[in-house]
Amino acid sequence: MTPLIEVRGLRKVYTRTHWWRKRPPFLALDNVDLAIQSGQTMALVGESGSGKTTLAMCLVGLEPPDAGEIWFEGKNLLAPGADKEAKVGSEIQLVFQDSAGALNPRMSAAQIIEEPLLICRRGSSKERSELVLEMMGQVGLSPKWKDRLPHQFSGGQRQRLAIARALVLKPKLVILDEALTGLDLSIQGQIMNLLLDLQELEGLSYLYISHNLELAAQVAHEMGVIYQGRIVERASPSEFFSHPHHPHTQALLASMPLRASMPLGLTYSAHGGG
Amino acid sequence: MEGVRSNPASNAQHQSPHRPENLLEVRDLSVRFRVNDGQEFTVLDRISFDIGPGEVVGLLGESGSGKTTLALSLLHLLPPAARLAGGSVAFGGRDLLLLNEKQLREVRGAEISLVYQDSSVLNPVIKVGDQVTEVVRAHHSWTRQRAREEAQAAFAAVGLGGSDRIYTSYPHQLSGGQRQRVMIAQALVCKPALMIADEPTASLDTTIAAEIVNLIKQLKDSSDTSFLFITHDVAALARVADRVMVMYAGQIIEDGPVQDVFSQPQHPYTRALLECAPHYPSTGVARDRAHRLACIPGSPPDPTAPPPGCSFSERCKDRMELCDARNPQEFRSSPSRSVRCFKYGAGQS
Amino acid sequence: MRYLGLRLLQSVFVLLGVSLLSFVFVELAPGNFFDEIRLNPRISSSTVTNLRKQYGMDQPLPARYFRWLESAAKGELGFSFAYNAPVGPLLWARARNTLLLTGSATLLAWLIALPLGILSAARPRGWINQASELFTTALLAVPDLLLALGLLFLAVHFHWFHAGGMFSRESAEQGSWVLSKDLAAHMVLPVTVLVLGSLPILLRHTRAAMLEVLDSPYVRASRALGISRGRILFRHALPAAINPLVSLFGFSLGSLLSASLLTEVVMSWPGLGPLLLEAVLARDIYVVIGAVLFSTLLLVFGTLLADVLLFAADPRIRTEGLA
Repeated sequence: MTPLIEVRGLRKVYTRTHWWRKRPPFLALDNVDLAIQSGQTMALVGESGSGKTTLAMCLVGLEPPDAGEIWFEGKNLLAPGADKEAKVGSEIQLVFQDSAGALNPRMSAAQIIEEPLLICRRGSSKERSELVLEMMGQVGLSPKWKDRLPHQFSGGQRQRLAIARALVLKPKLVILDEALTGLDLSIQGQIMNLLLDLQELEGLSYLYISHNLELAAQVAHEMGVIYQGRIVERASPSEFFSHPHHPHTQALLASMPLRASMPLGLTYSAHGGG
Repeated sequence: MEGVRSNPASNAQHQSPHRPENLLEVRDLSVRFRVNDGQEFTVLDRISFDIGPGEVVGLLGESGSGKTTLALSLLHLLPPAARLAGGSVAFGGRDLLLLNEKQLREVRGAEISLVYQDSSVLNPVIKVGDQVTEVVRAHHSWTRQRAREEAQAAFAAVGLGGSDRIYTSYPHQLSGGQRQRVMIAQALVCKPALMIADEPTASLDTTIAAEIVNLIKQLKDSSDTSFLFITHDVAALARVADRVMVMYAGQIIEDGPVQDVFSQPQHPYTRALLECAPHYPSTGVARDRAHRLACIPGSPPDPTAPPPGCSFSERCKDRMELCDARNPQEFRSSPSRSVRCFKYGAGQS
Repeated sequence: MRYLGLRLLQSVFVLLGVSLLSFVFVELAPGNFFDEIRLNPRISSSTVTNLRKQYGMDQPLPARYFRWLESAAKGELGFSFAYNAPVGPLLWARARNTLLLTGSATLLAWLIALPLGILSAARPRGWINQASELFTTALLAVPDLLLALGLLFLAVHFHWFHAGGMFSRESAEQGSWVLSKDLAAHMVLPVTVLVLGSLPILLRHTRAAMLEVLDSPYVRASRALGISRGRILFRHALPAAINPLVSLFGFSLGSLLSASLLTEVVMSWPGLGPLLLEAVLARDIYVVIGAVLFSTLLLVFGTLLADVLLFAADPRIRTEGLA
């Protein structure tokens, strides 16, 4: 089955000059390959500096890669022909970690959700307002709050807002770049459940990028590890935990005894509850 | 103990025995915030706890629970909009809340120090080594050479020793983990009796966070320093804390030895929170998509409009009628544990 | 070093451009220097024509420009029709006077603004801040010209200081001590005007920069570590707040020649200002171009200096962060 999105040999180099000195170029992405099927979630685990955010930027079109191909629904996104951008742009959306930074502090919730529709010129004014209210309902925000400003929402609510904005154009692939990091534990569960529900409802695919292994493992159909710009391991979640191959993966798992030191009793029996 | 505001009524509510060797004794600490239109709301509601020497006490709570306010109020560092509404903080024979600015300055950084979560607390235009010596020289009138030596010792203690390069770097030249270590060095260079760490691992990668937690464990084992470790990272507390207190909506709702609280949580919030903590059994269970993640529905109460009864009752699975009517008091369920829940205590007012 | 080289090259281009533009603008202005002479019936038109030829004014613009460029490259900035003297030395004598005035004024203004700004920021509710806020608002509202005229009026009315000019006739033959005292006395008024004119902006910027830094997490953390307020203010906050002030300093350096034009004219200070004004009115082209060029040179130098200072002062710019 052709994957929804397939990345082959993606490469991105950053050249840096500091005033007059030239620095050695920084290889952010080194021959990255990955594929995500429709309706499935791929989790990409990596630490800061591993290139995960660069990858997200390239996929969404915010950064031009230096080499490689991105095939989306059978079309090569990097082939010359700029108008594809406008159409495909709406099919792949990105949710950032720091929603407070990603939301315009002067726009109300409704305006934020409506903005992508305005940019892509979808629907009449009436249709747009209806869609906005529908989205707010879907992500669990009360329609009463449509005129509130971002700083009047809590962190979890802002993240819901960012998700609503990402989904309003009915994309096929949503990239979540550390979207749950920094939220309270109880809220993380809420948002993740929301994402899972939406995935079932709309057949979305997710690329879930994080440095948090466990959360990633709980929602992924496939797991990958990105390290120094390369994807060094790719496996199903159970394989991943039982037979890690790459030393970096093993190192990541080794930092998990922090988790394993949790007393068993209560927690495992409640796995999946609530 | 001189300096503790003796108030028989309040002492009766906090039932833990007064141990003379306690390093820190907080009794009925309350803080209120003023909003723009003159209204006030409670951020900390009669907080009481003790910390003994060499003890690592964890403070578990989510955003809005008041944990950061608690840390700031211990050192009297609250923003102008906050007001101390009562209570006492007994430390070294004095009530910290009664000290003037000059006396407080002697305490801060030298006897009690604070480590923040965000490394933007490092001055971007001063070398990190100098930032540590600044702390030393603020509290001791030693020579510059001596101060430098102390700073370098502190750097070595946090694992940044061995090269001058880091000592003479600026914050933006260091990684997140290194910056966090610098902050810890700043906090312990004057060998304080108590270190308050406010979410020290929140913004770090998992492996780096693990290293920092190990560092704290190391510091705890090698010295007599006590820690108040504020976090929402359950696993970190399991690894390093002796006792844990759980905060919700400005109150301490559970308190006890960490192993006991985590394996048999008494308060429904603690129980629910522990369920949410991510965990993946090392035996690799295949993900079952029918099951959703554990979470606590709803959100904490609006502090400007607190419910009349228990603040958690709205979201509580074991909610009873009594819970909506009155706020539960601390109930001592065992000599070392206490919990604020009507399930355990008959309704004391 | 390559960066500096690039900036210098840029500066040369700027100067060239400015000279060209000045030439063109003066040309575009109606009339020329000889019109006035022509009006005089006793001077024959052939004399005028000859004069024009002598000064090369009958040549087309590009030719004249290139001739000027040629001689400028050799250090000769042209000839002043009105003064009948080469432009260079004329400008320099006047520029010295201006620099004396504006240099002192700038120094004084910064010396006042910096501590005042820091103190205002340290105690936002104190009387220093309230007073300076009132003061700066009032000053900002008053145009320089009005200020100059007002002070002049007061000086004449109350016989304070000397209302205008640079030296008194009496002190011409005296020794240098008397001369300096006289100079200083004459400088008081114009310097006051200049200082009052630039103080509000400097003060506000200093205060704003300090306020922002004082509110930052790292300053609050310093308090938590028990460091004294005084030390925090000068050792922690000020270095971090210095950036916008360095840029401002470079800019004030750069405008040393241009800032005082109005004041000099009103107070009859023999600086570059009145010279420029005269020259523009009389279409004394080469003086105009020379003066503008001088000013531009200083501006370019000022901004370059600001960048270099910024580089030296802020380690975030000087050193690299992690990739």
